[in-house]
Amino acid sequence: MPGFWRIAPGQQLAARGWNDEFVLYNNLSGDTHLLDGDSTALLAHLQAGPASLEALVATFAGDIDPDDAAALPGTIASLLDQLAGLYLIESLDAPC
Amino acid sequence: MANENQHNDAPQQPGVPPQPGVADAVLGARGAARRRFARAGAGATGVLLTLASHPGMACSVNVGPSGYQSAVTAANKGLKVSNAPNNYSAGLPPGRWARSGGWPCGTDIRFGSVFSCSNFNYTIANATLMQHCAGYSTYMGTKARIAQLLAAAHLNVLSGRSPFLTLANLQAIWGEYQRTGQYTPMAGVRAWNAADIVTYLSGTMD
Repeated sequence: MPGFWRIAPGQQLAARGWNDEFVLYNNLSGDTHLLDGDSTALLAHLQAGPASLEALVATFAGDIDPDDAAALPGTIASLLDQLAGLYLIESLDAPC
Repeated sequence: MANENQHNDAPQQPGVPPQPGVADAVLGARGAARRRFARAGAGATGVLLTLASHPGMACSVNVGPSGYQSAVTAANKGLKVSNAPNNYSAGLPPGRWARSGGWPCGTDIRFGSVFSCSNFNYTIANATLMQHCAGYSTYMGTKARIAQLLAAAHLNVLSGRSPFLTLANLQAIWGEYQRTGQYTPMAGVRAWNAADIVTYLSGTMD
């Protein structure tokens, strides 16, 4: 698992939201994505600056049901992988 | 569309500085953040749908395979997206290598000694990099064309003309293509078919 994640350089994250779903235009790939609110929240947080998985978990841990806390790291890690696969984000220590 | 939850209504225009669309939409209100991951225990949903764009291919590619699709689109939009220094020399195409005297390795190196080949590809494996660059086997079709481009791309890597590529990148392309007829540059994207591979490799050369 990479240490830190950041928004892909040049990614503008132009988005519109309806009912906790967000349509995001990926200006780097030309694709348009429909994202849920959780993944969009991650993007918004990373837009403020790079963050580690641990920091993201800590950020959102206080907002969820304690019963779901154990699953949060895996959930966020899975979302990060999905977003990286779309070139919306990248790991800072990934090879070119 | 009028909607109380709509954000960042102004359409993005090319050349317009980044808009705070996502942050404005999600983190602008603390209450929105509080709803996040309410169903973490149920697993991640994340990306619900992607409407893919398959623009025309770029004539100049200066990123590795995983950044290819981004680079292609960015180039078509007039943007510069690269993980590589801007002052690198462009790669040479096979024909130029075939006529060039400045090889970074021996001209008699066999393709199969660089790119592992199955027994079905014996002819391709046994041809030298020079023979591939000279196009001896182009009658064999797309697979030979890909081998030819890989030979030239390998020389471009060795000579420092393609710093954004590695031999491992090229071997991965050949290995997966040889096995499956396609290549997946990164998770979550459409696999490249033979034509896509040819276009990508061609784009790394003049």
